Amino acid sequence: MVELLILQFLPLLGALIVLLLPREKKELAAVLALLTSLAELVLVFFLPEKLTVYLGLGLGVTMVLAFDQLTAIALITLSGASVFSILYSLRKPLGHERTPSFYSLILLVLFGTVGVSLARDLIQFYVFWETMLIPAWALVVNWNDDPQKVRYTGLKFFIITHIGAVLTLISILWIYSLLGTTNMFVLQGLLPGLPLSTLIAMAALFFMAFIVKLAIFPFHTWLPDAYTTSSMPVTLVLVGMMTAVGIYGFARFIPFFPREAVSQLSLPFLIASLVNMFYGGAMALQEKNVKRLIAYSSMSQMGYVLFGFATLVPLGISGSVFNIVNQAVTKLVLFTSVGLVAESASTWRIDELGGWAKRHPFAAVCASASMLSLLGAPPVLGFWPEFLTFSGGFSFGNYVVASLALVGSVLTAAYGLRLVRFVFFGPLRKENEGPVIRPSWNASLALAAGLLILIVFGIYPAPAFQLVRGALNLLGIPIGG
Amino acid sequence: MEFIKVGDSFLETTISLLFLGAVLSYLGGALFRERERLISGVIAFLALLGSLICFSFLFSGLGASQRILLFGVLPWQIDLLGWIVGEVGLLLGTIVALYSLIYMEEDTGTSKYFPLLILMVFSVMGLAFAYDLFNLYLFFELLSITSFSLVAFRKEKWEPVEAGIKFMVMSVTGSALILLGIALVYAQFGNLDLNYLFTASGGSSIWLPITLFLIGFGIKAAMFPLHTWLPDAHPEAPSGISAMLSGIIIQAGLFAMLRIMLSLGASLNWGQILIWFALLTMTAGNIMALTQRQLKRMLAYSSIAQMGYILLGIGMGATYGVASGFTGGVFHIVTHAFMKGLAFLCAGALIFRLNSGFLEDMRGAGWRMPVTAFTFSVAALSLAGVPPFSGFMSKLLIYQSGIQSGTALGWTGSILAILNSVLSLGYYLPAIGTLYSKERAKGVSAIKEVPWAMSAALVILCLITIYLGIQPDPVRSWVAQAFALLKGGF
Amino acid sequence: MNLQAIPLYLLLVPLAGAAIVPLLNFFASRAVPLFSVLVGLVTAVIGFFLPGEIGAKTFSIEWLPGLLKTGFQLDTLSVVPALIATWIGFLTLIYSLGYMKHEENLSRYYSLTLLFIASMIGMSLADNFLTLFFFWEVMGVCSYALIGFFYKDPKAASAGVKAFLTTRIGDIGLLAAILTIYAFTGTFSISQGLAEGSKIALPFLNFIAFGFILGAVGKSAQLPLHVWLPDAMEAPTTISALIHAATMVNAGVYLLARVYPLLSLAPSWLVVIQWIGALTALLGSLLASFHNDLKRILAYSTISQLGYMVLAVGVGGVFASQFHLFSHAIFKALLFLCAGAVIHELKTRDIREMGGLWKFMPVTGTTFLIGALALMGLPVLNGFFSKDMILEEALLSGSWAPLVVASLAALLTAYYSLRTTAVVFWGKRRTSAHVKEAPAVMTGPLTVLALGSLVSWALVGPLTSSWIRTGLGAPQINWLELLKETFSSTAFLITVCVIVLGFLIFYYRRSLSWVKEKIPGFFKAVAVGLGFDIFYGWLSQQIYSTSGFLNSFFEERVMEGINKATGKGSVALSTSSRKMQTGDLHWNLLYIVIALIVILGLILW
Repeated sequence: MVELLILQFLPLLGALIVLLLPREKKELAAVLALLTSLAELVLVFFLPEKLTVYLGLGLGVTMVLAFDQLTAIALITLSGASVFSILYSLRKPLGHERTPSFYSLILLVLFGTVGVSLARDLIQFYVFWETMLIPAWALVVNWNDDPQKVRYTGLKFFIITHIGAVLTLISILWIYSLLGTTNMFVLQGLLPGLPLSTLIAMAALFFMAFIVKLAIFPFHTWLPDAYTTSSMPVTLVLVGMMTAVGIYGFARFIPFFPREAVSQLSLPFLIASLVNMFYGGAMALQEKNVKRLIAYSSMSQMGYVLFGFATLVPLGISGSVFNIVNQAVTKLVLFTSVGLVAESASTWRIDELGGWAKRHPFAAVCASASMLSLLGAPPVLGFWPEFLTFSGGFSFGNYVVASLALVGSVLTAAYGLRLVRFVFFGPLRKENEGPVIRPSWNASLALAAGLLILIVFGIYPAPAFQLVRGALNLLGIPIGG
Repeated sequence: MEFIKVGDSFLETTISLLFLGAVLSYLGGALFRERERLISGVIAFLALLGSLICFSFLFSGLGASQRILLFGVLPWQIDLLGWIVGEVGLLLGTIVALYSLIYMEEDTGTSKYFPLLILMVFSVMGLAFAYDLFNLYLFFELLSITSFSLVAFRKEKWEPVEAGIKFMVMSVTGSALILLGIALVYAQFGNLDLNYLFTASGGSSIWLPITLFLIGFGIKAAMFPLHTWLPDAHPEAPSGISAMLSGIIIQAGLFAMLRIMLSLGASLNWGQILIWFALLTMTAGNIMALTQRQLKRMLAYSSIAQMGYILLGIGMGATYGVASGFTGGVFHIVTHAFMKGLAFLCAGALIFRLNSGFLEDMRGAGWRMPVTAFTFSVAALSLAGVPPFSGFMSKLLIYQSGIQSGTALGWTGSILAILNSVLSLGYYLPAIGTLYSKERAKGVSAIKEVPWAMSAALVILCLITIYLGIQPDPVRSWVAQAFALLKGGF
Repeated sequence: MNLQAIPLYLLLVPLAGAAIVPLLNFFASRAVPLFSVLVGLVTAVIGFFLPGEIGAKTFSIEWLPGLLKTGFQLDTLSVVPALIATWIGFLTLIYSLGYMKHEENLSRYYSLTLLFIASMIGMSLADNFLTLFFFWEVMGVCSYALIGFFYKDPKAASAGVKAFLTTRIGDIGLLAAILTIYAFTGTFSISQGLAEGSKIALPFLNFIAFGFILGAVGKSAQLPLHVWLPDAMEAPTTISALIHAATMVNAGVYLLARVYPLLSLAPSWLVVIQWIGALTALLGSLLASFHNDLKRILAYSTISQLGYMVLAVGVGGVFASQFHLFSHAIFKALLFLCAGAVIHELKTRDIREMGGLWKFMPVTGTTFLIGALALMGLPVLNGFFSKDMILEEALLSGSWAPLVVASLAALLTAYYSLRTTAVVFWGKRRTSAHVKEAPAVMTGPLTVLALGSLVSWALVGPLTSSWIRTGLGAPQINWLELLKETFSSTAFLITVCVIVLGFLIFYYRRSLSWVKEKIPGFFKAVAVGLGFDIFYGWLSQQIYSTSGFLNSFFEERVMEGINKATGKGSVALSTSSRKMQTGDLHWNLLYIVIALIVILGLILW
């Protein structure tokens, strides 16, 4: 009961405290924010398997918070990602931008995402979804490296994602008007009573928010700009938390809607996912700006995530749920390690980089590891979700689509290898010659943690997969014996 | 309900406090010329505050609607619905008075400003409680007079006067139509009591008065295309008054229309007409707001759009008998009063420091005026219907009503409304972005935050907005209850 | 130690070594090479116990709970590659002590090498397809990283990328096959999968077979995916010897042998395999004959030898293929290490700058000659017996055309082996560089391998004796019988003929030079590797430019255009609609009238 409320409202509390700090207390703010997210992360491990709380807010309104393994996966990823981002941003001397409000905004994003993953009431879900959006938008707009484009980028980011959200809202209202409740536990039983056509339309509308959040073509245009123009920690927040919560949404609501309704959406989703893989891959393949390249790679990766869900086969879904963790870790490490190089080279252009493995050996190792994870090669984490996704594809029985997805993975390999090869290998430019750079302790700490996760779970995924399996079993998606 | 209860201590105290306040603040201001603003302002504020407190006590005694004869002369009928509107008006008025204490410092003749403000609030209460067309008209006129004299308050400049004249001409036209309508009704039924009319008016032969009322009150309610006075009047008025106008006055007009329609229009499908006009109004308002350079003008257009939402809710309620429609509409009146009031007061605060209403002169002001900027952001997001702010909660009910109606028109209405709220982000976000933009306008770097009295007003409104967003009840349930209490018209 | 656990130790020791090396690098970077050699030694020693384990039932651990239990499958088929990896790996590590002495980032080198050895062991001992695929991929990663070991050299970096991408194409085929089997049989276990293979409908069997072949073709550098192997020679020569000659490239052949029962259910694909093998053998030997880069010559010869093995599988001689794999691993590793010694001294890979090295590097020279003779298949060297066995099998299966092609390849093999040896070690020296014999740490492994290529064929007895357990029938013979059979077989005649022919061609090569004038185009084509690289380069260029077009047109113009247009459109609408806000009273009143009419209309209608 109370621990769940702590889990929910701790970030908000932290955000308020940090916000009230005077502007010059940057270090304190950073440390407080870090501790808050850490506490959040630790707290998750001390919660029981299953926990549900009805929190009556006086007349009418009741918040429904519930904790299960799927939520646990999301929460671990989210709080971990925020720890990572804050740790990265926490360098001496803190830039003049790293005001307390910056950290309080990050905590607000965390608050929103935590709310999303705990909510079991549709309206509440929507409210937290938007609550997460606002601070994210504020971060994108105010901590941005590209003053020319920032207005446009911010507008695009908020409006496109907001459109997705309101479509979901329509679906929610529809459900409410037909069934008179928004409590998901209750609805689970009521939904199958509705006519199939209604359910299909409902589900289609409902998933829009996640589709936009996952930047599925053609709703992807917000992503490259938002990722590219934002300053590094903000990008990390977007990469780590936004993506994760988007995938979580799918994982939560695909079992929520009756199967026969969702299965009607399977094919469109499959096609969309294929388009995403190849489109994003093609964009990444020829992109000159490294940050943008990774952004597009993220887009094509989301294609795989959607693919896994679209198969509706337990294996495929488990792959995508696994991806909640994998995508976050991989992208965070990749962005950070490449970001360190770009920072010391003071350019993001791929043709001006090269040979940095000599000066940034650790970054090179991390980048290579995360790149391998990106393209699903062992012995790093990424192999398992990718393999599960594909096995889902083949068990689903549509061999053409599955094989196409496999071919797409070659594209992934192509741009992944290209990225690492042109950033880290080859000769180093004259002006960049110099002694080996030791990244600041916080960055290397964050990276080391990420690298460890990548490799350890890459070699022995059993614990992580056990969690995924448990989560899906609770949702009535049994995997294996 | 023929039973007439003579007087009600709370209500009478409230009213007498208001009158007392009006008179005293005028006299005080007139006597002590050099301290005019402070004295009349403080008196007015105290009076409003006191009456607010008394009026709040009235709530406990409210059951089904009951008639009273205030001071033995003023026949009112108090019910929950009216109380809510009156309470909102009073609260907003009080806050505006507090705000204006500082805000009006450059102006002269403030000893007239505050009494007029009080009268304005009083007339709102009158509109809320009057139950016969005559009194309704009376208070409506009082409202109009106070409002356009306040719009044109800064008479030394030309634009306010011009705006005031336009406003006057149009609202007088409206009143004329209303008067005509009343005359027709009287000629037909020989009675102006709305209850009587509700029972009496069976036939559809009253189509003409209905039309006239729709137009007359529609002008006040800034229903497209009758809104044209509003974008001129709001920016020119002192910001406090703009807040009152957008926050409660135009809604009061709509409220009066609602009362009359509920009693007279039963036979006619006026709800659907409202829906059509609502969609027109909100779309037009949003689209026109998109390219406004002046903050207050932009907010004025957004008020038009918001009126569209209220109309839509009420229309849905009237057409399809969806409870959430009425509730949403009136609840939006409540939330909108606070958030739009807040927005205008913030705009006022910015103008107060920058002496310019143009957005490009406000670039980066947010870094210098954190409270104002933050509260404005809250107001804007709430107006755009983004959770977790109050605007979302009321709009939610309105969207819901359309979808619950389960009809094509209902769905179209709701979806258009939702898309409109996305569209409205197209000007709210840039406005916020401007306040927080990196590069600063030249005037900005010198300014500092507004004095406490003003920022206090902002903070109070901001808190209300957030509170109603996170915890819409009990207010929302009061509104619902109020409509449940209304049997037909009353 | 608990004998049950031997395979596990065999896998874990090098794995642990690979993990420890980077950490060790922090404290004592000097100790890294020695430590790695030690790990290699321990692995090799454990390896000696492995054959005793054949047929033992090993435990299995849950890798993916509820989805996958993984364990070991111990039969001759799987043990041989594992042992090759351990022992040759160990020798290579020793050799590296000398060869890599002056390089930097040694920890990376040794760690990856150990990881590679571990994954080769894991790949071959795996009892389920998923584990096999896992280690298969890890091998690919190691190979990629080690090819790009000298990352500062753009050629090396690109070669790594090329190798990874090309093999990746094969890998997705393998994965597709594995997953299809899983979809039908619901298990990843190899033995079960093969057993239940007959249940699968033919079209899907074809799909599966195709997948496996694609995988093998990619990994074993067969036509048409052989292009990565020659470029992979940018790697340190030790790596070329270990990964790109002795072990990893054999994985494809091993895979085909492993899934032979499934392939034999789709006979049409067996023919395809035969032809792939035969043509690859020919292509490899052809390209090797006219190349001047020592390592590339050896690479092409590897390709061609792998072709023989694939051919063997195609004609049903699974054992033959594995036997040749065994021999080839030994002598090709030997050849590469010798080449390494030479290159180490001369700092060049162009054989035209070598020559007359015999008296400076006697050990290297002799061992290289032995290797070359084994390669060309001179009697009583291991290459002779295994290759002969392959041709024998081809004869028996009666697939004549591939046999002819293969024999042609054998002829060329004889020719280029002699040519290479001659040009490098005999004749007059063409370089003024001061040359001396390699140090003992390098010549030691050479000698061991040379002895190996002399006598390893005698192990045929133990190999066949346990072969039965693989479930792939093969005659149980010892080395004497092997001698008899071989020398009495028709294939022997072929072998002798082609070798003699090869000798003659080599002897009269001067007088044969007129051929060059006759068909210059052919030699030009050969010089560019028959244009495979050109084609693939063109292809990737096309893909690249297509995506460039997609970006510049679709993403930038269309998608962004839609966004911008939406914005512009609403702004335009706004500005135009604001015109009704004239601020002119007459208009306002007019609007009132209009509204009045409209509402009247609505009410009355």
